Amino acid sequence: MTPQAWYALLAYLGVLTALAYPLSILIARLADTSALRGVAGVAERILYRLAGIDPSHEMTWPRYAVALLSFNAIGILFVYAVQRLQLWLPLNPQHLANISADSAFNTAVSFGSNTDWQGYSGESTMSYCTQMLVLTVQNFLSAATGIAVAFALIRGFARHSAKGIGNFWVDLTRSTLFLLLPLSLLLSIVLMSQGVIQNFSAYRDVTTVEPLTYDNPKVDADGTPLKDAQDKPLTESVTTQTQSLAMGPVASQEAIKMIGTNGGGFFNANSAHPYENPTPLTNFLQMLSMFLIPAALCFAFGRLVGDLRQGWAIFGAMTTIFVVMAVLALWAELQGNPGFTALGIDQSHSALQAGGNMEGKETRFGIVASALFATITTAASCGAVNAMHDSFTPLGGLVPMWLIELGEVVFGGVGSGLYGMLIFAIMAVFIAGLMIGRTPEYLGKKIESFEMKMTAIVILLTPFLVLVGSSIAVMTEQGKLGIANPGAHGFSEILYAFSSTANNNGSAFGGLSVNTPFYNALLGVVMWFGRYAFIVPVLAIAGSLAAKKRIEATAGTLPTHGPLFIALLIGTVVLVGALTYVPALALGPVIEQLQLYKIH
Amino acid sequence: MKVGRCRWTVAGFYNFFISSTGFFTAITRNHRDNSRLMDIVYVAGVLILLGLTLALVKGCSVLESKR
Repeated sequence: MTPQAWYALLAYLGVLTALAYPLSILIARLADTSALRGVAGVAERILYRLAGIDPSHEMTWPRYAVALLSFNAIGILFVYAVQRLQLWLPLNPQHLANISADSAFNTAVSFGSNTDWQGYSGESTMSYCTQMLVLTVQNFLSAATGIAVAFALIRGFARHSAKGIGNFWVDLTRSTLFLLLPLSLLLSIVLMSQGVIQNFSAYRDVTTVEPLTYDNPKVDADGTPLKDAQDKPLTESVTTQTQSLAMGPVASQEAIKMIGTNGGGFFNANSAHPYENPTPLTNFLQMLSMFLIPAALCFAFGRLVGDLRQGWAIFGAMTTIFVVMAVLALWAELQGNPGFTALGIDQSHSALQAGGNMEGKETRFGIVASALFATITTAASCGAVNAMHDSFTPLGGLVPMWLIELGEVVFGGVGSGLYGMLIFAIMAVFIAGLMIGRTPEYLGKKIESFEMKMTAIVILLTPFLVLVGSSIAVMTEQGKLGIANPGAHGFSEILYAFSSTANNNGSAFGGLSVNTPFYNALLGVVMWFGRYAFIVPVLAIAGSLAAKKRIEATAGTLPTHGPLFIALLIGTVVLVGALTYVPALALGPVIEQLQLYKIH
Repeated sequence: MKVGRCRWTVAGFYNFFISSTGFFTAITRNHRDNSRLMDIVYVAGVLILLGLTLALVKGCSVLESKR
């Protein structure tokens, strides 16, 4: 670890805490079900009246779940329809064709579920209308859905003897209008000042300084790639001195992409593209944006349950895991490839070279900002990337993959990170209760069999989706066809894809061709269940807890705001993650790292 | 939870996943065109996924009421 890496990590955490703490005051106010005052109150009342919503109506958890699922399903169908019709819709200066049915399905579920997994290349497939009207809109609505579920679960802890857990429509409206929109507007303006583009222009052809020769795939009259007798793609050498620069309304999508922990890039290169993330300052702001609301939600949780220390405890547990994983990723990438060291190649960091492993990284960011970004984006369920995770060292690549597999609870997605971590907190107090022989309780609520059954569903769901999905892919020809690299690395590519989609992260390891009917369909199903089959039991827990009476803490109650509980919570998260995925990880990145030492 | 009910819950969810995955992969295998048939398949697919998740809501609700 270089001093620069430590400074970057400390500066990041310092600024994050300084911004998240005051933001939690606003979030706590939005979660309070009483009417808002002033202009905000008038604005929301007008909207409720237009939509025929009674904001004072409290929903039971099944009603809340049905409203959420119906709203999201309608949104997903709308995203699907616009993609299939984009050729005939406005704002398509490149006359991009309609998206294929399987890709449209995958993208619709992906953006609806806050995953933003992208099997497509944005600049060559999506019109400006599609990018703005459905993808950007879903970035707001899916993020607001996550926040709404977090609000509902917090109310479950904060209320007692109550039937309702809030009103989904109110939570959705407030999160979108008064949290996500203002923050996104602010960030998009800053991003534009740094060079992120925002226009509706057609793509611009520019003349390059030097001619470029490259291999272009040969296609038939229908556009189908031609292959030789060995089933390898046929290519032809092409020389050009013209380059097409993709344009578009990027800044407006970029801001909510990061703030809403969505991660779906306007361009295929995502945040590595200079029009999405042009400077080190925008890179730092994007990293901050990913953790801002998830961190603020921890403090808002503390405020809403009436004990800010509870929020600090959750924040502390998340930060501890994050720092350990960030240090591991930074160390692995700064060390470089051990095989190169054996060949006598100087990989040390100096004034003349970055050192370490620079493969797949942008020179304007370097190793520290790339490895830190990768750790944050996978801890945060965002999925935006500014470097190729596929090109990280095996150990450096293991960190993002394992952070995803922990369940996206280390800050996690907006809302989903907090409610995921609170489920682990319930698990932690249950384990503590077993150890000391007392009925487990958390924040004055007894944790009983129903809550534990729901917790078990939540905790088992994503490993089931990841491991069964990966198994299907490695056992079928269509699954194996997508692998670019054979052996352990190829397995890592598949495991990462299913980990990313089942946990609604959306980042890609790279190297796996997933824009095929097989992967589009299978990953689409995985994303759906990974999001909504997770949310349903969480809402059930919220409803069950809200109906319970609050019991006073006694001498036998486990304090849930101290270091002992933080350690217990970290242990639960790490052990569940480790025990579930270690065998699969051993077949992928672990064996690959060992092979680096064996060869040389 | 009684063992029988637990078994049925696990088996039910397993079947949900396998059947919905099988549904998509079987119909979409090597089939990629812009026909309206595929639109029907995928829209129906979203509705099936919604139906399965609503069934989970109902299942959890029933479980809660029986505790």
